[in-house]
This record gives sequence, C-alpha cells and structure tokens, in this order.
Amino acid sequence: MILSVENLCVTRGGGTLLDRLSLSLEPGSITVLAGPNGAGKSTLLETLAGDLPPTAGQIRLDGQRITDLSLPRRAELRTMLRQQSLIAFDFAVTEVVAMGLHPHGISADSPHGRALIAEALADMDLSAFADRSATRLSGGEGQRVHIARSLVQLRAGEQRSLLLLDEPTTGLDYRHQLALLQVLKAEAQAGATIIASLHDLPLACRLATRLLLLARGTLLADVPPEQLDPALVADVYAIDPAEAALLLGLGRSPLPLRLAAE
Amino acid sequence: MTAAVAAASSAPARLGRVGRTALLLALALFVSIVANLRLGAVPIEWRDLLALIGIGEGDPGALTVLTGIRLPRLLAALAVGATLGVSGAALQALFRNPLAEPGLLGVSTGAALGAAIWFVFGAGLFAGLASLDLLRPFILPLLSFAGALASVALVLWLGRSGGPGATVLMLLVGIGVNAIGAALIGLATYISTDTEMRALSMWMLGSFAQTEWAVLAPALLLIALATTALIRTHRALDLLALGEAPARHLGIDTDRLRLKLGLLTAVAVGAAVSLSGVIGFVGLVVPHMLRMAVGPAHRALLPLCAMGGAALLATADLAARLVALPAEAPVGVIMALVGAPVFLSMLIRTRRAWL
Repeated sequence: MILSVENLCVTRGGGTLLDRLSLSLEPGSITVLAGPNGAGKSTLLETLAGDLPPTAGQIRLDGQRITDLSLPRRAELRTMLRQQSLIAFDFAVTEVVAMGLHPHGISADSPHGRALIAEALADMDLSAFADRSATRLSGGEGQRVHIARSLVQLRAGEQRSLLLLDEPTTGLDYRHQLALLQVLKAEAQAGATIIASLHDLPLACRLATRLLLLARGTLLADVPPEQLDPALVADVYAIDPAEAALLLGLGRSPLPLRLAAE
Repeated sequence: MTAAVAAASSAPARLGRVGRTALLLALALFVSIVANLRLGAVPIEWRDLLALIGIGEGDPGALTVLTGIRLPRLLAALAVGATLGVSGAALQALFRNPLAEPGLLGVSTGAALGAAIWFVFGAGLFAGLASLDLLRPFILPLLSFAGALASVALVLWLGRSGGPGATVLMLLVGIGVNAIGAALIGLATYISTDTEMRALSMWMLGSFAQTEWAVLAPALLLIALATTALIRTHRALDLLALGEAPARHLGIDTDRLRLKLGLLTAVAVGAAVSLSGVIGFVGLVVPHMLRMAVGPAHRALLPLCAMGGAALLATADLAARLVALPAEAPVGVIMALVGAPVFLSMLIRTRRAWL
C-alpha cells in the first residue's frame, strides 16, 4: 500500500500542529517518527489514520483520499494502535485480540480466524495469557495484547496494508521490544507499510528503513538511520551534542567507572 | 463473537457457563410464569392452565381471570423486565461504565413528567379526548412515552458532537435534563390536589395493576422491535469497550452508534415505562450479575439480560401481588428494596477502584 501525503497542514485552535508535510511511503518500508514531546507525532499518526481532518493538503492510500473512504473500508486498509489502550469490562485476552478480525468479517471460530489469533498471541508471547482477563494485566502485558490485536487486524486483510503505531514500545521490557522489532520487520517484508513513533533512538535506528525527525509540527529531517548523527539529534531535541552522541551509543560515558576498576 | 472466541481457546469453560446460565434462567422464567398465572387472590387450577394452551377444559371464570387479568399483566412484567435488562447492558457498554442505566438519559424523568401532566392537568387539557372511552386508556401511556422520547431527544441533541468527549458530554447533559424534569414534576406535585398527587405518586412507584390489552399490544410491538435491534448491535458494543477512537479504527461509526443506542433505548424504555411507571435497578442489577456469570461479551450477555430481567421483574410482581393480599404493594418499591442493597454492595466491592 502506497501512502502519499501532500502538503499536509493541521491547525487547531489557532495553533499549527503540522506544517506543510509531504511524504511518500512504499510497501515494505518502516518509517519511524521521532522528536521532542509535542512535536506532532501523534497528530500526524491520527491524521494519517483519518481521525483528524487535515486543514489543508491530501492523504492518499493507493491514490484514494482517506477521508473519502467509509469507516469500515478504512478499517480494512489501515490498522492504528494508539498510545495507552485500555479496555472496559473484563474481556479475556483472546477476545480482545479477536476484535482485530472485525473489519474483515472473519469469524473468530473459523479455522482462519483461530490461526490468526493464535499466531498473534504467540508473536507477543501471550499464549499463556489467552484466557486471562485483559483488565488484570500489567501495563506492558496490556500493551502486548493491543499490539497482538493490531497484528490480527493487519494480517487478516487480503494483503498487508498500512500499520500505524503510536509509541508501541511503551511499557515493554527489552525482550518484548526486540520481539516487536522482529515481528514488524517480518510484516514489512510481507508487504506492509509501517509507520511508528518511538522515543528510543537506538531502537528506532535498528527498526527503521527511514527516520523522520519532527519538531513543532515541522519535518526537520528525513534520513536513513545510518545518517543519523549527533549534531542532528542535538539540534532536534535542543540538547548538548556530547549527550546526543551518548544517546546514540557513540560517545564515552562522562561518569567515572569506578566499580569496573575495583 | 463471544461464544466463538470462547471456542477458540478460552473455553469450554466460558461456553459452558453461558449454557448453564441460559438453562438456569429458562428454568427460573418458566417457574415464574407458572407461579404468576396460578397464584393470587383467585385460585387457578392446573387444568385451567392446560385449558389456556388448548388442552382439555377449564373453569370459565378462571379462564376469564387468566386471559383478562393475569396474562396481560404477566406479559407486561416480562416485557418491561427484558427491556430494562437489555437497555441497561447496552447503555453500560456505551458509557463504558457498569453503573449506567436508562434513567441517565432522562427516560424515566421524561416519562414521569408526561404522567404528571396527565394526573395533574389531564382533566382540563384532555377533557375532550378523555370523554371518548375508546381513547382514554391510551392517553397516559402516550403522554409518558412522549415525555421519555422528548427528554432523550433533548439529551442526544444537546450532547451531539463528533469529538472524543461526546459520550461524557451526553452523560452530563442527561444529568441537567433530569434535574429540569424533576423540578417540573415537583412543581406539578406542589400545585396538585391530594387525589391527583396520590395517583401520580402511585404511578411513580411502578405497578402493573392497570395493564390492559389495548395498551399492552402496541407497547409489546415497540419493545420487541427495539430490543431485537439492540441485541443485534452486540458486536459493536464489544468493540466500544476499547474506547471510541479504537472502535472507529475497527470500522465502527461511533457517532451513529451513540445515536442509535439512544433512540432504541428511548423507544424500548419509553414503551416500558408507559406500561408500568418507574421501575429502577433492573437495568443496573441484571447486567451486572450476568456479566459476572458469563463475561462481558454481548452476544451472550444481551439475550441473557432479556431473560434475566423478565424473570426478575415477573417474580417481583408476583411478590408485589402476594405480599399483602388482598391489597398489593407497588412493584417498583419491591424492586428498589431488593435492588438498592445490591447496588450498594456493588459500590462497596468496587470502592477501591473508585478511590
């Protein structure tokens, strides 16, 4: 699925949230959005998902304007995972994951539906939690449930389409961050177009085929991960270049490593 | 979806629970129906009941009591109970809160205002209509139904918005509309005579004593249509548990769904209230108990709420008829006496989550 964005502007209450953004994303690409708080990452994802009507500009999925598509059609073509998903009432983990089947009209007890659910549960290391209540999980476990639900929604489509993830690694431990990384790479290989916002730059560099750095609603850089240098990071986040190098794992720790010496 | 998912893995357990609960409710429903038909001031024999369904012959006097009094009254109690159970569960799904109930949208207050207008001003306003015997039984139900619809329409119209806070806004508007309705009822009560006030307060306590076929038939039709339509939204109600934005991401038009649920519950509960007057707690207690028994997935929950509500209210009405023979107690009072302590125990048990 080709996502093309032309001259996208979003203004709310007099403030400019996104300022003249243009992008074109190909199937198989993983684009990571990074930038300081309030940069417009979530706004961009919500606008791409069709939640927020753009003030100006166009968003097209394979040539069709997303705002022209009905809600059920949008749900077939794009999967969106928001920050901090919650669930009211104590649905079982399997039931929540099965909700991803809804847009595609696949029954959860058809062999196809069952296979999709089981695969997503296994990918997110949730097989043992299948029958547990989704409301009684830790933050990270809950996040994995909603990732699994999104994977089901993405995979149940006739072809891999658009996957939008807003800070999907929130609450995940290293093991599950790496599991997510691997799953997303496999989905991109299978033809999905993936956009995720991440705060962890080293992780972003390992995941992304392309990095977009945003600040105050403006696209400051659009680079392959190899080209992310400390000067650019320091500029985007308004931090010291030495600290930026440290964040990227390029500098030496300024703290004396006394423990190691002993 | 539920039973389907249950089969996927979670369970023979959950599927078994749904089956067991359905069986138990069917049994309770059957016992309650038979007891309602047999017990009361006039004794009814088994052979009279059999005669009612066309087997053998019964006592003609007993059959008159059955078809003229007990049967319509029983049907009304079953229909109102089913309506309140299903509407309660649907609104709890919409507001994502187990403490929501039809009264929140102003349904009961609007209906009561309609009834207050009839009891206090009816003689003057509807003198022409009321003198026609044919129309007379319809005036009170129509006024209370109109009151229920009007107040829900006001809540939906004032609370309309496409934003993420639309449901909360609707809830707050409901509180405001309820307050206005309560004030107007208070005003009507204040200027009413003692007789008018007594008639109004009896109606507000809820009772099936006045059920007549002429009023029952159209109300049953509305209730059947609206309740079936509510049950058919089960999939969308499940997805709403994720929140409105995630439900939209899964293809649900949440603005339309909110409107649809508001209108359907208004029609169903409006028709119910026009039959019985105000009866609280069924819409709160029945979905809560059944959610604990079979889980929150609505494909099983909604039909079970219909069965549970019907069984509960028919039993409560039986108690209302028998508790003070030959007089009877208002069924709304019986429900509140049982329902309120259950409601409080719910709050006490979930207290920690609120603090």
